[in-house]
Amino acid sequence: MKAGDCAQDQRIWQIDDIVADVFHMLLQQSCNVVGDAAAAGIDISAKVLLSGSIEAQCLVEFPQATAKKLTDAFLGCENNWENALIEDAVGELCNMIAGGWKSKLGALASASDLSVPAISRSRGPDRNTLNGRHLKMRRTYAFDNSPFTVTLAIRNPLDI
Amino acid sequence: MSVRVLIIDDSPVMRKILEGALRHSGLDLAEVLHAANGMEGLAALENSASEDRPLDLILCDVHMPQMNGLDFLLEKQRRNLAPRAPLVMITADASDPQVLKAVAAGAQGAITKPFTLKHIQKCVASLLLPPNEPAPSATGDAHE
Repeated sequence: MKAGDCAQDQRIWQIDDIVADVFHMLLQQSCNVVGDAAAAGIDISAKVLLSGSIEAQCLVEFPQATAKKLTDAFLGCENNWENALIEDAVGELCNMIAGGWKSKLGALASASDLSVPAISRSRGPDRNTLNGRHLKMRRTYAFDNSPFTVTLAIRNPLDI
Repeated sequence: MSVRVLIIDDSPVMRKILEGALRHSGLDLAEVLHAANGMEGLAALENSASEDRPLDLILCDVHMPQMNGLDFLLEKQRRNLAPRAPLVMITADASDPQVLKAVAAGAQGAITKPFTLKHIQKCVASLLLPPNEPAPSATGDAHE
């Protein structure tokens, strides 16, 4: 199976709905797909790993300005938030997206555990830490004209 | 009914989101206490007991450093702290076995993130209001 084929498999990649749900339910905001290229100027990333019967990871990457706007939205006002709070907001978003994705993956995923979000401010050449054969899907979204990128990767998707 | 609530979550952003949702849910909040993990949560319960200011509701994250939500629940029960305060687990993972264990051990419910204001309102009303009393009206336009 090629990644392009897998991207059409709605059992695995329902990320657009999941991201939209998070923004709609929690913030009453729309969040739309911008494209497949990564957002420019990534400053903060958060990663949640899924381990156990399924090995997968959810990575969200934010420019600082988008992360600040996300924090404003979560906390209900604009402010000069400390970086720790902005990073926490990005981590919480990653946590909710990963949790939503896990719930869509079926019975096998229920025997897997989610890690706590790991936050990074350094940009490496490849943040995908899954070993061996795996498939990956990347999407960039925007809310309030502010872009961010979500990348999902999964090992052995044919087992799902 | 004026209520005192304890929110236990290692994420300060999620604590503020939950507090905002409670404030917009129409509840008459006397006080909202914050704790960053189960240990801090137990300390808050001890303080409330010693000051004779009982808590009416506890919202507790599942995965936290130092002491997670399930261990907090078990230790709370062992020490018989706030025995009448309903405890609701907060999780991003609806199928997390820790949540099922917590509910089996005595947690009164679980709320999955993301949630809406209506989710919070419905949950709180079912736990705090007498039967047949209508749920309070939500205020503001945030967190519908």
